[in-house]
Parts: sequence; C-alpha cells; structure tokens
Amino acid sequence: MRDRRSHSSGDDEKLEGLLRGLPRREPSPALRGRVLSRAARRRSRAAPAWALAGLHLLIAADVLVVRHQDHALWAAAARPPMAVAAQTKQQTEEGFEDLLVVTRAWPLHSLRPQPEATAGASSYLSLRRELLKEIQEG
Amino acid sequence: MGAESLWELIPRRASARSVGRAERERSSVMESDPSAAYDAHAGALYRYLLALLGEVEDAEDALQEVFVAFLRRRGMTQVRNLRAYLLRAARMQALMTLRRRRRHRREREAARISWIDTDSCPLADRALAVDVDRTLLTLPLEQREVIALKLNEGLTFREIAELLDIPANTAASRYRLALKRLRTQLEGGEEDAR
Repeated sequence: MRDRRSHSSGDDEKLEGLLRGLPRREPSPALRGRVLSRAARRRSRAAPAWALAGLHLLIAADVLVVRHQDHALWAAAARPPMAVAAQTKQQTEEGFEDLLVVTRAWPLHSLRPQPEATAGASSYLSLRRELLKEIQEG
Repeated sequence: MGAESLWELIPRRASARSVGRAERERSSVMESDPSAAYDAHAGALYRYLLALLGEVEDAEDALQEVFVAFLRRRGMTQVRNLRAYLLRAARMQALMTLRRRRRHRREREAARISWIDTDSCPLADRALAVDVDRTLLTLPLEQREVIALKLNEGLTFREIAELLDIPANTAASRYRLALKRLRTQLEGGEEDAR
C-alpha cells in the first residue's frame, strides 16, 4: 500500500487536481443586475449635479447683472419716506414737477451707468434757470 | 517578461510598452463595456473575495463596491491588465472589510465558507467536498488566498507575489505549506473516519 503521508510531488498534483475539480461558487444573477444598475445610476447622477451648478450660475448672473441693468433692483430699492417727501416738496416749490421721477432716482443711479435722461435733465434745469433769469431781468 | 509589472496601472498617454497588444485591446474593450467586464471577471473576483472574507454577504458587498468604483473611473486611466487591476482592487476592498470587522469586534471574524460550492457537488463527492471546504477554512488567510489565486485563477507565483507585494519565493512557500497542511488534515480526517 502507498504511504499516504509521503509528501511527494505526485501527491501535491493529486491534491491540486482534486481542488481544481470541485465545483466553485459563482455570484448570483441578481448581484449582476444590482451592480450594473448601481453603476449606471451613479454615472447618470453626475450630469444633473453639473447642470444644477450651471443653473445656479445662470440665476446669479441674471439677478446680479441682467435684472440690475433692467432697473429691477433700482425699482425694488426702498427709500426712507421722509427723504422722499422732503425732496418732493423742494422740487415742487421750484416748479420742476415734470422732472420729479428722474430727480428722485439719482441716488441709486450711481450704481449703474448714468442714464441719458439724467444728463438731459441737468442741462434742461440749467437752461430753464437761465431762461427764467432772462425773463425776470426782462 | 521584462522588468515591467503586469499589474501596473498606467496613464493613458504612456501605454506603449510591455504587455501584449491583444491583452491591451481586450482590456480596453472590456473597459468600455461594463457588462462584458462584469461577466468576464465577476466570478474570479467573487471566489477570491470569498477566500479572503469567508462570507457571502461581505463578498457580494465588496464585489459591488469594486465594480461600481471601477465603472465610475472608466476612461480616467488605461488599465493594462484588467483582471490584475480588479483583483488588486478586490483585495484592497476585502482588507478594508476585515479591518472594519476587527474594529467592530464582530464575532464572525473566522471564515465560514470557501469558494467551493458543496451544494452543487454530485452526491458521491459531496462528503469529500465538505471536508475540503472545512479544511480550507482552517488555513491561515495568507495561505488560503495563495491557494485560491493559484488554483482558481491560474496565476503564476510571480503574479501572486506582485498582487500581494511579497517575494515570489514567499508566495511559493505559502502555497506549498498550504498544500501540506491540507493534505495532512484531509488524510487525518479519512483515517479518523475509519
């Protein structure tokens, strides 16, 4: 009878053959679906993240630049009622009610490019003062 | 083979050397097709993870993590040898799981099952398969993983050594020690049964 405890290379080969010949476990088919769907889901999530960041940038640009230039920010700015009343009274006394809207707006005009109306108003005021002076002098 | 490692990850622009063109092309096709990559390598990874972790749940979790991470990184690196890359990733994932087990002092630190599917064994061989399965579980982890890589995946000792970051001689001696231990225990079991 063969000595079963001898450590010959023949015994090693036999054992290797035995180990190789036994059936092996395989991952379940459900796992395959889970892995592939999870990988696909993670990839598709990346695009909306970038899209969301882009959307935030667009909204910020719209609020800070476009709407500001379009007078939305200016129109929304609150002014103390006393200041508005005092200014209105002064301008009414001077008889320039037709310029009231433009003159009221000037403190906030410095935030944006000077509108043509303001420049026109100041030259109109000086012209009108000169005309009044000439009329009074007669 | 030259001094260059089969297991190395290389940047896409530096892909010209060493590994055969066919292997590179095969890896690149698999990289671009997730299901093909999964079908080709999931079995090997699963068995290797079972050898390391000894738990179906943990092995499946680790396999998921490895593949999802790989599929997310597709195209960022060129993998010269996809099987080697995935085996290395699986090993890292398994070591993380083992560390987590130790940290949480889980009771199930010892492996419970090996890669041998005893249930699908023919009845005549089932007792032997169960014996082999139990004996494999008694091996130290470093010997069990060498046995799994050598016998299941057919890796050479050099490839095993590169994967495990050990000398090739150490890989070979672990393998021989594991075989010796298996043989002794299996023969002892048979003798005891008589």
